This record gives sequence, C-alpha cells and structure tokens, in this order.
Amino acid sequence: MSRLVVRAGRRFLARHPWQLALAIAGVALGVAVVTGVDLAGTAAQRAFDVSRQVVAGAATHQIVSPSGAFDESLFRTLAVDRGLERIAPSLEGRVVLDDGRVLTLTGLDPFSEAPFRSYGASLAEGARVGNLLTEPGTVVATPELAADLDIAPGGTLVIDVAGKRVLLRLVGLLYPGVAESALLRDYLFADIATAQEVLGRIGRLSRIDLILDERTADGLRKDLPPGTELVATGAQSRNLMEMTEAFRINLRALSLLALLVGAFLIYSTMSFLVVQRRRVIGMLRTIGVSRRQLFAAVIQESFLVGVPGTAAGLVLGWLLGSVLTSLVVRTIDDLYFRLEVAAVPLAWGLMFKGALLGLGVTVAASLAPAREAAAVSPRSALSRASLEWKVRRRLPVLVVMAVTIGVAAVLLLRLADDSLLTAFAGMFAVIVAAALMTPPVIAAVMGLLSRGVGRYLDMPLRMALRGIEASLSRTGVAVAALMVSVATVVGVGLMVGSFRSSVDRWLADSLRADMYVSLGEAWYADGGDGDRLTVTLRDLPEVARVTRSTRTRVTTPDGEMRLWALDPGDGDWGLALISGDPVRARQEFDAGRSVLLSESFARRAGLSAGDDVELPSARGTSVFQIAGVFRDYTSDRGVVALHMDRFRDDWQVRRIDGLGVVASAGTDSRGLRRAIDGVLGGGRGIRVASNREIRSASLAVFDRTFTITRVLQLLVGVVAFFGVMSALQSQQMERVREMAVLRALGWTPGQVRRLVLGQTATLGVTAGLLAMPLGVALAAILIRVINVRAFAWTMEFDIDPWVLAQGMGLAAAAAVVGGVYPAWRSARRRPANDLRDE
Amino acid sequence: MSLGLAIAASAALLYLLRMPEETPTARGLQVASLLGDADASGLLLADPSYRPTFPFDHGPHPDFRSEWWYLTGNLDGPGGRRFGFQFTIFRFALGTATEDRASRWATRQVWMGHLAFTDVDRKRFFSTERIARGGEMGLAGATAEPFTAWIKDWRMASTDAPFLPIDLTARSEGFGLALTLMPGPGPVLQGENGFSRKGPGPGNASHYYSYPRLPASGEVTLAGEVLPVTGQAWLDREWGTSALGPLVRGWDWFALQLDDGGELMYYQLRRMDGSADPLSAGTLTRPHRRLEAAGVALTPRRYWTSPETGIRYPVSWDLAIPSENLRLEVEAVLDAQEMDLSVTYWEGAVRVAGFRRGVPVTGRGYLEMTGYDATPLNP
Repeated sequence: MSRLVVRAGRRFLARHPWQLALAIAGVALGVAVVTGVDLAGTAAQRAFDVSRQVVAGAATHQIVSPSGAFDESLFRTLAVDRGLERIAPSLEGRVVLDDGRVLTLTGLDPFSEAPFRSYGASLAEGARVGNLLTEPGTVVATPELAADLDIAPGGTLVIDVAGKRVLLRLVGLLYPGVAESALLRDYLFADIATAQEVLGRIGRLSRIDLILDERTADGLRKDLPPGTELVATGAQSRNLMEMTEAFRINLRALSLLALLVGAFLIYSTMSFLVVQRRRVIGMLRTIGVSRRQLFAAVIQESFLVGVPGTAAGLVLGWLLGSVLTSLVVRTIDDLYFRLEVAAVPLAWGLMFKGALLGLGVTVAASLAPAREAAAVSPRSALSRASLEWKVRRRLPVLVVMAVTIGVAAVLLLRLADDSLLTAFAGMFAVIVAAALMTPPVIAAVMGLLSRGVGRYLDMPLRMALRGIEASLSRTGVAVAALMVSVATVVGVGLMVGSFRSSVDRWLADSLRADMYVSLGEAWYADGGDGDRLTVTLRDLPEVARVTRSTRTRVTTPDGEMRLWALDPGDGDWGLALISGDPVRARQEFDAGRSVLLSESFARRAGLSAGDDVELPSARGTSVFQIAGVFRDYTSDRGVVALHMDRFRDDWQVRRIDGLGVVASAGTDSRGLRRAIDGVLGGGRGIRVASNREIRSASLAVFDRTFTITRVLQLLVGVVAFFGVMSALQSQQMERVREMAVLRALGWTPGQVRRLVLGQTATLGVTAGLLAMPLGVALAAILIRVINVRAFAWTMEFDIDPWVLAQGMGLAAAAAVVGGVYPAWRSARRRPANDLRDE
Repeated sequence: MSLGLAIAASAALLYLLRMPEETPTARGLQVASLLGDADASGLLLADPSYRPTFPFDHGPHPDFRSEWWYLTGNLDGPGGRRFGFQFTIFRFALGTATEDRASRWATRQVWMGHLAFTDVDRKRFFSTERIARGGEMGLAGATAEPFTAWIKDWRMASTDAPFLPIDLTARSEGFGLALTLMPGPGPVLQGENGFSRKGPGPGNASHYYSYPRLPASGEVTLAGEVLPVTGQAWLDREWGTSALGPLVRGWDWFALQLDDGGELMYYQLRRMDGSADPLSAGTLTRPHRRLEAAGVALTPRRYWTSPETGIRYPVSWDLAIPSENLRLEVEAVLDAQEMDLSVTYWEGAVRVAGFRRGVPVTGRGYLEMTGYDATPLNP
C-alpha cells in the first residue's frame, strides 16, 4: 500500500516536470547563497589567521613605543639582567626604490628568532650565512619580491633612505608559506645591525617580541621605562578580530537573510506541491492508506526535491564562494588591513552544513502541509472548499501570532544592550511577523478591492481578484515569500543608499580645502621637509591658507585607534560636530588642551564631551579633555583629533602626511594647481589631488566596499524572482482544468489570459506593495540599530524612491513572468481534451 | 599602510644559520663551519711555541675560530641522590676581520651555551641550549680580569680572586644550577705545554688546559625543588682554528676523577673505519704523564640506541693503559644522556671501576661521544 502512495507522488512529479525543476532550482539557489557566503567568510577567516600568524608569530606580548622607536638598551636589560629567555628585537623602517616603490626593511636578530617565527630559506650560490651578520648591507627577501625587482640572489639593489642612496646586496631568499609569502612581498629582511646602519637609526629598536606568562608580564609592565609599553599580542589580535567582526557579522546576517528568503521559497514550493494534491491524498485515504503512510510518503517526496536541489546548490555555492571571497578580501583589504587569500578551501564542514540546511528546510517545509494532509478526514481532503475555508478561519490566529512576534521584535530592538545578535534577532522577528500578516492582509485587501473596485472591472479581472481571495491556501505563502524577498532587496538598497549619501555629505563637509597634497615615504626619503613646504605654499599669492594633518595609530589598553593631528589654521576646520559647543570646542582644540572624538570612538569607549581621555604618548600618558564628538567615517575603530602643535609636543613626531591648500579669492582650481605644481616640481612620493578628485575616489572606495552587499542583494533578488515565478506558475498550471471549464462556458482565449495574468500581476503588485513598508522598516533597523551597534556610525535615513520602484518592478516582473506561460497554455489548450482527461 | 604589517613579520634568519644541519659534532669544532664559513683567513692558528699565561688566557680569544669554557661535574645531593651537570659556553668567530660598524649589534662573534643535568636516581636527563650574538650589546661575552663568561643570564664569574673561586648560575625551564667552584689542582696544560694537536696540517691544533678537580657546592633546582649539593667539577678551556683530519669521523672524550687522587683525560679521535687516529692523546695526573694513542686501549662494551635520533652510542667502555697497569670499566650512570640540540652528541656522567697496579680503584667522570650517526663527519 505504501508503495502505491509513493508511486502516486512520483507520478505526480513526473507529470509536472516543470514544477519539479523549479522547486529544485529554488532549493539550489537558497543552498548556494548560504554556502557561498559561508565559504567566503571561512576563506577570509583563514587568510586573517595567517596574516595574524605572520604578524605576531608566536609572541604573546610586544614592547612598543607610541613614538615608534625606543632605546635598544632595554633589550639587554630584559634578556641579560632579567633573564627573559624568549625575547627578540626588531627594527623596521621604510626604504624607497628608484621607481618609487616603498619597501619595509625589517632588521632582526637571527639568534633570537627561533621561538617566534620560522621561514624556510635558501642562500645564494656561493653566499655564506655568516654574510648576513658580518657583511654590512646584506638582505634576504621572498622569491616574489626578488622576481618583482628582477634581481637574483647575489645581485644588488639601490634604495633611498632619507635622501641617501644605499646599496644593498641580496644574499638569499626566504621561502615562507604561500599566504605569508604574499604578505611579505614588500619586505626586505636584514640583520638588526644592518638595519640600524642602513636606516640610520643606531641604538634604536621599534619592537621587542616576547613569549611571557601573565604573571611575568604584569611584573614587567611596572618596570618598563617611560615611553615604552607592553602590549599583549592576544589583545592586538583581538583588536584585529574585533575590527572585522562587525563586518563579518553583517555578512553572515545577509547570508541568513538569503537563507530565510530561500526557506520561504522552498516552503512555498513544497507546501504547494502538497496542497495541490489534496485530492489525490483524499482518494488515497478513502482506499485505506493510513495517515502515517501518507505522512511518510510526503516526507519521502520532499527528498526528491531536496536531494538534487541541495547537490546543485552546493556546487553553485562553491563557485559563488570563490567570487564572494575575492570581494570579501578586497573589502577587508580596503577597510582594515592587507589580506591575501591563496585559494578557497573546500570546507567539508560548511558543505555538510549547507547540505543539512537544504534538506532540512525542504523536509521541514513539507512537514506542515503533510501533517495537515494526513490529519484531515478523507472526505474533507477531497473538498477544496473545506481547505480554503479552514485557511480563512485560521486568519485571525495568524494575526495574533504576527502581532505577538511583532511586539517581541520591537522589544528586542529596543533592548539597551549593544549586542548585534539581539538586533538581528529583532530584525528577523520583524520579517516573520510581516510574513505572518500577509495572508490576512491579502484576504482583507482582496475583499475590499472586489467589493469596492470590482464592479468597474470586467469579468476576468473580477474573477482574478475573487480567485486570489478564494485560494489563499496557495497564494498566501507565495505572496509572503515574494514580499519578504522584495523587502530585503529594498531594505538593503535603502540602507546602502542612505549610507552613501551620508558619506557624500560628510565628505563635502570635511573636505574644506581646494587642493590636497599628500607627502609619502619617497618624498621624505628624497629629503623633503614638510614644514618648509607648508611655508612655501602659504607664501604663494594663489594660496589663502594651508592646513596640515598627520594620521597615526595608537594602541591603548582598550584597543587600537587612530590619532589625527590637525592644524586647520584659522579657517573652517571641516569637523561636523555631533555634540559639544562648536565655538568653545574650537578654542580649546586650537589651544591644544582638548581633543575631539569620532562618533565611533566615543560610543565604544563610552565617552562624551566634557570627559577626560588618556592616550599613551611619547611622554608616557597624555590626558586631554574631550571638547566634542564629530562625525567620521574613516575608521570604525575610532579617531581622536587633536591639534598638530600638541601632537608634536607629546608624540615627538615631526612628519606631516598631508597638506590642504585653500585658494585665495579669485584663484580657480586650475590656477591653484599650477601654482602648487610649480613649487613641487616632479618629486617622487608626492601627490596632489583636488577636492573633487578625493571625493570621487572616496566614494569609489565606498562603492567597492559595498559591492559584496550589492551582490548579495542581487542574489536575494534572483532567488526571489525564480521562487515566486515558480510558485505562481505552478499555481496557475493547476488551474488549467478550471480554465477549460471557462473556455467551455464560452470564454475567449483572451479572457482566460486576462484572468491568469491579472491574477499573478495582482499578486505581484500586492506583494510589492506590502514589501514597501517592510523594506523601509528593515532599512531603518539596519541604519538605526545594526550599523550603530556594529560600526558605531550614525547616518541620515534617505528613502530613495528609485530603490522602492526597483522593488516594485522586481515583484511585478516576477509575477508577470510567472503568469505568462500558464496564461499562454491555458488559452491555447483545447478545453474538450482537458475536460475529458479528468 | 596596513596595520597588520605595520607591526609585522619577520624571518627566522636562524634558519639560514642552521641550514647544513646534517653535520653533527660536538664541542662546536664544526659549528663555525655550520655557519657556512670555512674560510680561516684572518683568523689566528694555534702556535706550538705559545705557552698559556694567566689570568689573560682565562678570557676570550676572539681572533681564533672557536673557543669554550667547558664545565662538567658529578654532584651529591641530600639522601645520597646523585647528579651530573654540564655547563658550557662556546664562542665562534664568523668570517674575517670586520670593518668598524656603527651598530652595537654588529659582531662576528656568535656564542652558544649548552646546559645539561642528569638526575641519576630518578633517571631523568635535561638538556637545553641558547645562542646569542656577541658585540657591544653585551648579550653574550667573556672577560679575563675579573673572569666572566656569559650568555644572557647564564653566567660563570670569578667572585674575588683573579680566577677561582667561580660562581656559576644557569637556569632553564624545569632545572637550574647555582654552584661555587673552589680552587683545585691545575691548570693542567694538555698536549705539549697546552698545545693540543688535532689534525695533520699546521695549526690544526688548539690551546688546551684543564682544571680537573674543582670542589663544587651550591644548589640545584629541579622542577621547583631546591636541593643542596656538593661534588667535584672539571673545567676544560680550549681555543683554536683547527679542523679535524680528513679521515676522522668523531671522537670519544673521557674526563675521569679517580678516588685515589688521580685524574685522567683522554680523547680518542676515531677514524672512518673505527680505528683510533694516531693523534688521539690524553694526560694522566699523579704522576703527570702524557698519553698517546699507542699506549691506550679503548674497547666498547655495550651500546645504547637513542630513541630520539636513532643513533647508537657505546655507553660502556673498557679503558686500559698497560704502561700504568691501569684497567678501568667506564659505565654511563644513565644511558639516555644524549644532547639533541642544534648539534647532536652524547655527553654524560659516568662511573668508573677497575684496578691500578692491582689495587681496586673507583671514580666518577664525564664522557663525550660524537660522530656515531650514519652521516660521515667529513663527507
């Protein structure tokens, strides 16, 4: 008997190959998106681990100095007097090649390195290892760098250090792993003595690596000389992790959103397959098939869709993963730190997860309809009317559930904890509530429509409206799925758009100079002097004033942040204050007494205007009052802005990274540029860009950053499109006989087409309309809750009508395309055949 | 600039320095060539006419290729527990004379410390090494007056007199030593007035003297437990720019303290075919006698194979000096005393029993064996 049931199911699917194919495609797309995003995340994570490994090696702690370098005698004190066993010095500096390429020369003590890092190495023909130690100016590098520079071991390269030309000899190659090799591409390694001599920094170290237990570390921390500090690399790695965590969580949320959409579509497909066969199920029940058998058969059938769909999804997912990985890595690279991925690993764990997900959702999606099918009495199963009646009777229950979940969602979103998880949970709850509300809303809207507008419509369209209301069991889930998908697309689109326009406005506010000059390593290597250049530019008749700025990273116990030293002169400083009194803040800032915090730093550190902030400086610790908080999108780790003069006093850094040049009245930007170029000549390492160029370059980076978001948005759109199309199409295909009856009653093919298309179009437009408020709500949650918690960035909420229109277009297009084939078929078929078949 | 790389990465140049690691030997004779530098030009060679002078020669000889301060000893702890220790500071010169360099890290001197400890009763053996550069940074080095030799916080140093007594401190994870060595007999000049020939060519020799019996007392730390100890140590000093002869594969070095008051040092240079090289030599004290290969018979009695390296060492020997009517059985107090460090060798405490002129004699000492692995020393 049970074989009969199974065969009945198979026959059904075999007779509806399109429906089967579309269902399988729906599952495949859902699985592919989730697996692809997961794979990309894992690849990025792995690359991240490698880079962390390369960075810190096995060191647990590092001694560094806020001013960049410290006296080498500390090393002897620690290694000899204090007897620390695992301790390694290093000195780093930038050197510039003839073509302007900047490399980092890292000096190490080979005898201290063993516990920390180990890379394979090979020596040049005839070179002796001792050469690195005893021969000044000898270096080693990775084969990649040697190939870039076109030198073989034994060859020489000319570098520029502070305007001095130095000859280095490559005596060997390093062979670290593939990933490390890519990270070390811009590095030259030398003995520490060589590095001190080449960089002209005799007696200085930039870092001491240590492997310590916490107790020793605590003891050591107290005894360090001023101007140096002990930092746990764990904390640094944690910082690196935290830095990208928000980004990765957002990515994961998008993948979950894709999954949710995928699950909706799978559910709609599967439940439809069951609902459609209620009649067959009823017949089977009348001939004695037990409920349990039926239930088992439906579950078994779901595997027919789930297995091939999942398999195809995994393959697609892996391909997608490769594409997404490069996007993820590029984003991390743009925003956070250099990251390289050698290959996307085939993570079996993730594939298994994807498989489980695909099958699980498919089976789960058939459970409810299967139970429903098995539960009804054979007689009522045979009656379509009883099903529809039951669905409508259940509408109030849906409303109650939706309201309950909606309230829970609001509570979750209003929770004062800063957790991203509750924020996402809240957002998903909003989606679920909206989905639950869909069938009651459709019923209500269609009822109103047919009563209100109905009488003005012709017969086919009137029937289309009534039909939707009368077949809620089928249309409800499909519309909910379409609505959720479209809302997701709209929500993400609005969020990105709002973010972009906020960034654009912020750029306009903060880029106050007409022309910007950036001073690079190469320029300084050639003997450039930032202060002198400032004066020279200021004296030009075309120039009204010159602002100076320098950015540097500072590691505080709370994590890493950026220090932005700024001398705005007496003009507008281009800081958009969110809190604090602008006039007083400016006075305090110019006097060097106060600093300004970026929004993200203030939020993370829980500080606000009027508080004090302690920063590690070359003087030990510098304490500042906070004069205000400003808007800033340059770093989600936080920025502290202070006056250049105070920065120079406390950090002992003279370098200037960039100059902003404001044109005098009557000078246009071309004239200004000519004047600046005249001063600069054709130097290396110096770049001049106009306000507009910087603005568009910044937006280009922004757009690149959000490419992955857009790609996922697009994917959700594609999944939605196919899913809805398939749902509507199969739903209409089911009604071929109904149409035959209409044809037999004398309807023209055109009228039948109008009925079918009218119905799917109405469904599509309804879904699209319902998606608009949900999409706006999702955007609001993303902007007001999730981005604030993840990045501590606030932004203004812009509702771009074009994004809404796109969402509507997507919904309508999916609905219409879903209706075209059934409409064409129903209209063309010969009603007599269809009727006779029954 | 990316943060990751701002605090970035680096290379284990030590890897470079350890490349041709397949050449195992001990006492670092070959370590300088391990560092890839066989060029002896600009380095001094041992001079047969030179007679060591003190305290000058207790200090470093930076113009010779290699040099060491080699301390071994047997110690007695509470409850009759027995221990052995080895603490050596090696120095190697790389390359030839360097131009004056500005960095205080610049140096051609590389220092290596080996520390080993044998807990005889509990059959435990610990060994560790450290390597550091010389140079003005002062991470490792030695001075003659007052005498000090150190590598980071491992240290041997005169307490007040020009040389002895010497305090030595060395600790590592799990064990540590803090001993005072009191004056004892010596220095005993090995070879011809301290000129010890190691190979056929001119200058293939070292300057070599020993303090064969220094009363030692102090404490050892074993896994947090501090134990008072007393015993006797042996100090060997050697420096030179020599290489072993082409046929020599390794050596067996004996430093034995007999309870009749005599001491015996003998090194056998072992050839490829297992026979003793004619340049093998040694010294017997009380009465002072130079020993030559022809007058000493060495026969392995028992072998032990290292589970770590698979190398098979003779850990028990018959040593006979017919001219003195001396026959000794030399037996490792513990078989597993292999130093598996950047050079692999066996160095451990031994007990001695036998007869001299028919009278039973016992003793303690140290045995060092190199060149027992499959790879020939001079391929």
